[in-house]
Amino acid sequence: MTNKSTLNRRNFMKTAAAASTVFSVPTIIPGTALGLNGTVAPSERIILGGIGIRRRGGYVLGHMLEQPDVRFAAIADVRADQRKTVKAMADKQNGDTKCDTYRDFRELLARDDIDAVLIATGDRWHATASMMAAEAGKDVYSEKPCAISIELARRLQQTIQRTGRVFQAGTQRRNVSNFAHASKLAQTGQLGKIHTVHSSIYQLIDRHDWLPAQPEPDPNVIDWNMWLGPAPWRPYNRAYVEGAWRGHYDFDSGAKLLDWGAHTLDICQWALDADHTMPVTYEPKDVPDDNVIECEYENGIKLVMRRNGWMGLGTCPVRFEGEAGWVETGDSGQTAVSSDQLRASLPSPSSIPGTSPKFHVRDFFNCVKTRSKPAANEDVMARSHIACHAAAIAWKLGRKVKFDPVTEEFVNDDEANRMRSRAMREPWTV
Amino acid sequence: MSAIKFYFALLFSACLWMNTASVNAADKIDTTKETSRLVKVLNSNNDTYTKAMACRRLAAIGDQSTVESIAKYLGDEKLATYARSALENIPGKAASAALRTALKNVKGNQLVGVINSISKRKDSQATADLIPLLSDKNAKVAIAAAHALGSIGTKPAAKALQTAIGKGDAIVQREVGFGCLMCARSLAKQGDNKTAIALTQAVNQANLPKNIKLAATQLTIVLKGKSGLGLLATELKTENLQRFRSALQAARDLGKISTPTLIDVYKTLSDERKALIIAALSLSHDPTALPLIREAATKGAGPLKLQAIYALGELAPTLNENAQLQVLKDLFGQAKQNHLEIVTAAQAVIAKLASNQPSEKVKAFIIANTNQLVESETLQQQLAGIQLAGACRISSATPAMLKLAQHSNADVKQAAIKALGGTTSSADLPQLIALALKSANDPTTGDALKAAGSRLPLEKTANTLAAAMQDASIEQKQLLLNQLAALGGATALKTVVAAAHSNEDALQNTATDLLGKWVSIDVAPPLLELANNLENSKYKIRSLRGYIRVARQLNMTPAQRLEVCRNTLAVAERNDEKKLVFEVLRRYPNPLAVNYTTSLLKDKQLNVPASATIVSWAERGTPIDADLLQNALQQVVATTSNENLKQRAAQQQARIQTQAKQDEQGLGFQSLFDGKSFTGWHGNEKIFRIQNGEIVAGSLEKMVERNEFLRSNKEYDDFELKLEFKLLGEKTNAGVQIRTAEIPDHHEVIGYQADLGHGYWGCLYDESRRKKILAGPPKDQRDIPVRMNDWNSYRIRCAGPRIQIWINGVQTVDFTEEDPQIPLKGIIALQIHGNLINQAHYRNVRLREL
Repeated sequence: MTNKSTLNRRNFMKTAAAASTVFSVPTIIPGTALGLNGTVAPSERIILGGIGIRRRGGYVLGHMLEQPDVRFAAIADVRADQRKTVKAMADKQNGDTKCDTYRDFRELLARDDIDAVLIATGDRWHATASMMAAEAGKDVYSEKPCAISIELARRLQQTIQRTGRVFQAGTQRRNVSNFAHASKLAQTGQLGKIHTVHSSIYQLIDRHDWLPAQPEPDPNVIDWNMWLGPAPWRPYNRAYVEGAWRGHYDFDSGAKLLDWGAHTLDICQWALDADHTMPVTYEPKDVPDDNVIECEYENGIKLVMRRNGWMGLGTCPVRFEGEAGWVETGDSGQTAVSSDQLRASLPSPSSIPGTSPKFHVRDFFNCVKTRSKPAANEDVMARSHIACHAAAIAWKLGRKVKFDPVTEEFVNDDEANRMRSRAMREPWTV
Repeated sequence: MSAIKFYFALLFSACLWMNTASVNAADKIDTTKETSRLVKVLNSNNDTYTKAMACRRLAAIGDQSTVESIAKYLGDEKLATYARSALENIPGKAASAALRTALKNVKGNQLVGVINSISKRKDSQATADLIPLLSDKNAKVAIAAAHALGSIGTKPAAKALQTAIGKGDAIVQREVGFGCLMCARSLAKQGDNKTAIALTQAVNQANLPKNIKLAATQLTIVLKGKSGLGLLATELKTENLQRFRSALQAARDLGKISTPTLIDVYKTLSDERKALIIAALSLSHDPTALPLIREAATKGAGPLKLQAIYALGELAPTLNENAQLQVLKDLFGQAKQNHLEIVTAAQAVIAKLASNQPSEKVKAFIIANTNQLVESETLQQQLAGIQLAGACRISSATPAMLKLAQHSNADVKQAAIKALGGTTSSADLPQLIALALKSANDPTTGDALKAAGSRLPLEKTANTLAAAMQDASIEQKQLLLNQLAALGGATALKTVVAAAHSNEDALQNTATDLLGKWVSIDVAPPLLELANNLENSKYKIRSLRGYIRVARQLNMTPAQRLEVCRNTLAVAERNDEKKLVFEVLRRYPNPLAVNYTTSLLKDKQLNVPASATIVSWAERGTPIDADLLQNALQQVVATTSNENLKQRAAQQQARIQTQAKQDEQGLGFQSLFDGKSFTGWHGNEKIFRIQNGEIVAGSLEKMVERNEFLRSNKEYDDFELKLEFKLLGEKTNAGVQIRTAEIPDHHEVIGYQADLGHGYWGCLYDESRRKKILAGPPKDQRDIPVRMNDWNSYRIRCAGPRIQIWINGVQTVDFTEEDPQIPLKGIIALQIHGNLINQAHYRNVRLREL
């Protein structure tokens, strides 16, 4: 599984990377054409269910509903209003009123006819629900961050593997053309030998306070116990349910570092052909008004996570720097490069922003059919999530930590190692 | 080394407890103290929250001695999870033993939790205790036990699970099955493939739900490797779609060794499944599959053919030149077909190959075949050729495309124009511009020009476009401005700004609109200038909104951002634009922005939005220095007339205050001044006295004759000091001595001073030694963070040779001593400066040693 030689592949690719101004149009084309050929027989359709769908989930679901070979059959949500909204969305697309609703997603998972699920709850639920879905025989598309701790990221990967399921993390930039092209520039040596890659993160927040207790609502309207799920108990406050869970340690991943980091560090891993490994050191830097964390791979390549200093190419920017040039890109779809020569290879401007899961969901459904691994599969997810968590732990500790990518332990560092996992509330078991 | 640790600790009050953990031997002493304090919390009547946080902290620092106090809560509905997080992480036998004991004492959901914690610790000693739980009446308990045994993954665990197959209800059975597979994985990992395969086969033969049996079969095939290929073939030939898919996945896991089996079963399958086999083969990048895929791509029917064409695209980059040429021949053959989907697929794959740094020969082949298609007399083929020329960016095809752009057939014409976006070189650019200007309303030409511009040299392209402005009509100019804006860069900006200044309303309209969406911050100064000087109020407002947008959306330094806010408030006439300023402040809450927002509370018109911003920071848990935020909230309470905001501010202030106190306690801060006496201090008590719990020095009536210092009795080396100060008087000067020595029988002292007072705020001065400012902000910026005639927070941190100072959360000094002769240890002393009529107040003096 750990193939160290891939990091050297770039060197040999470099010689192949002749400066070609005529030929370089990167396009994301589907690996397969399955399901794109017009009508699909009902028996061949993928039956999809949804768990915890609100804003981002609704956006992803919209793209899933567009697929001719997919039928959305059921929604499970702890909120009555969301059950209603999502059902309306599905029924409209399906042209009937058959979309079922559940308060408890275990009932949805118990259904034999459902092939795959979209999980778009808050972070606290992602890994647990994904693993339960996998064990129930469903393929899983889970929004990121897919796991709230290092331990869960690895356990999720193992569960997917053990149950023989297809898994796609909602890190859709792996299937967005400007990010693909920027990565390709790095992979194929067009930037020269890479020395530094940059991954944007958002403001880090690590809250441990409890909001003031409010009376618990009727579980038929908001099921608070189910909302909490595997997160430890705390008193109800409506604000959590409306999105204020972000930044709270029990509900968020890595002090919010994974909010963007799960995307941007992942793209850096991709650009470096480093999906089989991760940085070995993580060091927070004392930079005012920023959260800079400098990481280093075993081969000396630096990965810098930071909030500031980006060019303004939209959210979630990344930047790759080599001896022969650099590239920076972000969600606007625009790409900046260091020279007119690199500019010549840029793809035509795309109308697909970095936030769009258009190709990513298609990739997932193709793989549901072909049983191949989608771009952001469980292996890819586990490495980039674990690296993000390691960076967040370094930040929380306020000091440099060393990490062993093989054992996935911090090196001689009890304190950091004890931050790799947390208990799941009773009686949740996966 | 723990400089950053500290910095973050302060910023993120809510996570302070985490930052106190041990890094070096010196800190370990603190940890022991803290540990016993936390144990006391758990053994007391404290509330649930306090106990939960104690458990959380103990998860990071607790040792065996804490286990007993934590384990008490394993049966507590609210606290069990917190307790388990601690016990799961505390090393040593005590935690394992406590969990095993709890197996017998704890019931229901909490018992499930205990089992899960044992599972997490992979405690093989618990195996015997877990086995009877497999048949527990409570299905949740049985399931957890199955998982735990699976996680332990030893031979005895596997045996217990295997024995449990076939007993108990269906849902438990499922988990027993997965437990077996978990064991199989870990046994295989330890090299015991034989036992592992026996387990997977047992699961496979048992009466279990089909998804587990599928997973078991899949794992059997993978574990068996080459000898599993027979089973693979059987599974691939089955009718059942799920089994087929599962087998396909096993083939993928096996990699290239499965290729012959896949090829072999291929012919026995339906087209639909053939297509899936083709996809799987292409993904393993095994060239031996090439003949089969080529055959399907050329002779297959409908969807199978389509799949095979895409498969060629997947496989081709890994092939040698000759094989690539064969593939291309097939693809060009398909590009001539009359079937739109097939043609599109073939084109996409050819374009992909073209973009993959092809060899010269491959390149030449693509060009020749594309040109051939372009010259074809069949309309469909010609169209395919035109599209390919554009997609493959064949610049030699530009003259032909320019010609075809005048074609009488609309489809050909449109395709050729579009292709020009890919083929046009810098030399040919003026011709594409001319074409676009001729049909300024046609989006196809505009898009083509944009596509060309996006890859051609930046400034050269911008200059060519700008030059075309000269003789253009208004409509054409608008098109060119749009093109320039898409391009960006200095020339483009200059040209668009000039248009915004023109006398032509239509151009002003277009240009201000484009500037409002500009993506680099160099647009800010011209936008401000336009906001100030344009006469048309619509464009004036638009420019101002564009200006503040730069601060909201684009990257700027905190100082630049603040300047934009200031300028906007100075220019804005309407509330709408003022509101946008607060959105910027809310989003970027650095100390400068917090102080600035607080200062805006005084403005009656701005008080409400400023208050709302401050309250919002607090409610969202935005990481802001606790002292700073508390002060801001206090000022909201004091100034705002909005009752709702006042109440929320008060609530947040109370919360943050409590939290900050807890956090400081956790970090080991101790008060140096009790508010009543000078215990621990000495100095001239005629000058220094205590009033209202504050230390007061100097006078507002009488000049202080000479420098006076209130000195600590104790010396400190590495520490963090926090206090509050208020200086009164027309001209003030005071400060805080650190690492200082007394001069025997003298009123002066010698050492570093964290300075305060007019002209010196936040500077590091070397008192009686080098007698100069060692570090500090530029002279004109020293006042910025200070609230004059009011309380301010002061924070001084000394660690090794490094000294850092903050006023109200804004860092003013980060200095590293380079002279090894200078002592890094000494007393602390509060100063009042002589020769001035002024008064210094100090309070809330606390310190922690590092």
